[in-house]
Amino acid sequence: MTQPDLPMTPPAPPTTPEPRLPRLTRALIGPPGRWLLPLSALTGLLLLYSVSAPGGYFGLALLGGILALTLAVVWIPRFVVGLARADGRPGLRRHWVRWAAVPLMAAVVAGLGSAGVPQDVRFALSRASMEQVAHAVSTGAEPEGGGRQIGLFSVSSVVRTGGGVSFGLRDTGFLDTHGFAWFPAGAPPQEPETSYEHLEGPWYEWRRTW
Amino acid sequence: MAADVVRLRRALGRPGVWVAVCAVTIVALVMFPAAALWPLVAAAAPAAMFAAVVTAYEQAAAFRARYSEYGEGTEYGEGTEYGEGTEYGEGPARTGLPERADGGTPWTSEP
Repeated sequence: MTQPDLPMTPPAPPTTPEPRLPRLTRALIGPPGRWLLPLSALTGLLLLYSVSAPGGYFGLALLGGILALTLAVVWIPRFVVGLARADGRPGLRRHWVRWAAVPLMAAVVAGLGSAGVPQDVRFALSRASMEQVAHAVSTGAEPEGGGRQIGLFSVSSVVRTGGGVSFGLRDTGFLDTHGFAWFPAGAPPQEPETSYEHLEGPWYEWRRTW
Repeated sequence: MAADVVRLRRALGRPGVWVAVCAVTIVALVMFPAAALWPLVAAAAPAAMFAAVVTAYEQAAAFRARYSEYGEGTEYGEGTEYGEGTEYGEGPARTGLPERADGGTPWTSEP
């Protein structure tokens, strides 16, 4: 008894292409992917950067807020409908990591932002450079005019004030101006339009109302 | 008139139309930030997106029913944005394709 010969050459591929759903439909019923996840990460970074200086960066915060709103409008209906439908739940279970990534990023950004971590980290990384400039200015060096980069901050002004040195930050706040101040001898002087908040050591955060 | 109604119903059955409505409402929200418009527009954007997603699921269900011989849950159903399932070779072999005489993997399946 002989084995029947197996075909040696593959049959010709089907002539008609396999039908597929439109790309948009596949994206809407699928998990977050190549657009939503990177855009969420980018929005998170933008929002964290926007709160990384006293007073924040208003324009960036507004842009980040609009992007976050758009992401919420895209993610929530997709998730809720997928959860509500029997033909959507298997996809949620199978790709739970990708579904969870967006709210997880949102929670991390909200947590870090509300705890003030971005500003603390940026200030800690810039403190040595700012302290160097503050020492130089307080011992008689003329502060350089115009904007400059000190540490990770873009500084619009460095001025000697009441026994200390004040750093104005560029583009921060909406109508008020914000910055850091260095007072090695103790608390800053009382000024009618400027409020100070102690950060650490001789460093204060100031806000001048418009 | 009846033709217009049919055309309108057909348009509303397309997810792209609802996504466009959603996009327009979000742009309107940014362009015209009048306080009176906000609640209306803020409700319209997610509502349009909900409609888009529901329409997409309906379209997918109709597609599955029509082309059931191509197998379920492969490249048009769940989790397809990165081509998981059989489209890029993962998962079970596609049905509806010619099989080898010994019952092995279809000739046309990707490696």
